[in-house]
Amino acid sequence: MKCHEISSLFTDYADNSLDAPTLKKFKGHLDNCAHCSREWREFSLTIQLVQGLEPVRPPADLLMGIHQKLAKKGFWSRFFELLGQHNFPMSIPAAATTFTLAMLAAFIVKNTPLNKPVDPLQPTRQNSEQIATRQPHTYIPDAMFAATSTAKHSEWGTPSPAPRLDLDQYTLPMHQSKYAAARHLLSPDLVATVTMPDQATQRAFLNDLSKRNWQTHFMSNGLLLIHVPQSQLADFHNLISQKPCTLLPPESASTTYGNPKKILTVAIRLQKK
Amino acid sequence: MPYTETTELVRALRQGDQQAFNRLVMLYQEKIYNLALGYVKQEDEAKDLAQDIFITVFRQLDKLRDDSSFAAWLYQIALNHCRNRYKKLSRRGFFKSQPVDDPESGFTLTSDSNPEIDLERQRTNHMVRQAITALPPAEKEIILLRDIQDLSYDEVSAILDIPIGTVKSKLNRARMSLKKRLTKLM
Repeated sequence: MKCHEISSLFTDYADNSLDAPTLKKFKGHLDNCAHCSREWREFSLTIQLVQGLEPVRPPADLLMGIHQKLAKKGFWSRFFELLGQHNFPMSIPAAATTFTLAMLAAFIVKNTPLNKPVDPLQPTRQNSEQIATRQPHTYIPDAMFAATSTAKHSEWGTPSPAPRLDLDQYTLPMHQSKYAAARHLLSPDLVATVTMPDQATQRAFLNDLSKRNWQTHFMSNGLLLIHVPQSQLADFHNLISQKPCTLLPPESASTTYGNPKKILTVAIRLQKK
Repeated sequence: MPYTETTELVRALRQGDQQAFNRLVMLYQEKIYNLALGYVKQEDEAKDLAQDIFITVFRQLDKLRDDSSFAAWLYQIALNHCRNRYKKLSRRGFFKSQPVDDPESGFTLTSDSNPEIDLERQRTNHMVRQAITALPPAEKEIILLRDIQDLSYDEVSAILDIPIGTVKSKLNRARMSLKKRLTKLM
């Protein structure tokens, strides 16, 4: 038996599990080999030291800590426990479907225009043939009058030099503000009162107006709000000058009125003769 | 291993007896705590690890097929926890930050023995524990199970799921490795 074979038998020798012939060879080698003999003594001592280690006593609160940890529940276990405690009248998928349908219905209702104002240019059976072509105009259900006053926002509480339109006389704003200062937003730069002798003249006027590429809001049957570029104010004068009309303020009869503003908000009041 | 008592306690625990769980913890806590301590060295960490092992046992008891093999099953869970915790702590550099001469495992004198002998014995025990802790995980595992936990070859074989012959050869290599380390220390 050689040295490298001896060391692999140390554990079996320590356990007294070597068979007789192997044991004889093993002991014989140890008696004659100082190196293996020393190796065995160290190996045996190692086993004694390891097996002689006294176990460390566990801390007294180990069991208590286990119960404390068991009492702590994770988020999901608490969530499902809470679900289990409540006896819901419908299943979770049914509740989710109902919620989705409700949200969809709310979206549709929110985006459906209600109380659409009467559009004077809307073709009827009588005039649809007369108004063959007209430019499509933008209809904005939630739009307010645009703020075009030269006054700064910080001055909203002070009276504006711009002419005011008595809106209550003609129409109501779609969203009335609870703030009095907000009414200032409804002040046009100029007000033109145009007298219309008959329906045909009015239609012709509106037809001419629609040929201009001006943004037009039909506030009621007799009230329009248009945005006219200041550079085209002369064209506006030309349009209304063909009919009996008055302009407020008087200085708005000048083609330079409104400078340096680029867009003027003009209220046109159509008045029957 | 208190075979019959353990089996009866496991059966009682299956039927919802909480006291049976407490009794099982009391029976095995020293062995499991020492096993954990052999892996993580630090006492607070070992306590936390041992607690986690028993919590897993409590929660996964329905996975135990044979009540009589509870001890082997417990050690398998314990070893898995120890290996995972050892890896996690190693990644964090936990063992590098631990001082070589750990003050928490400091020597204490007992009044009923010779102070010099007692101190020498504690110093030796400390070195042996350090040498075991420094072993590679596979060698440490088998030393802890066979020499520290005093489990039989059959039990170690069942826990590690390897043949008895392999257990013996691995144990022999682990002891040789430990001997070399101790020779250097002493």
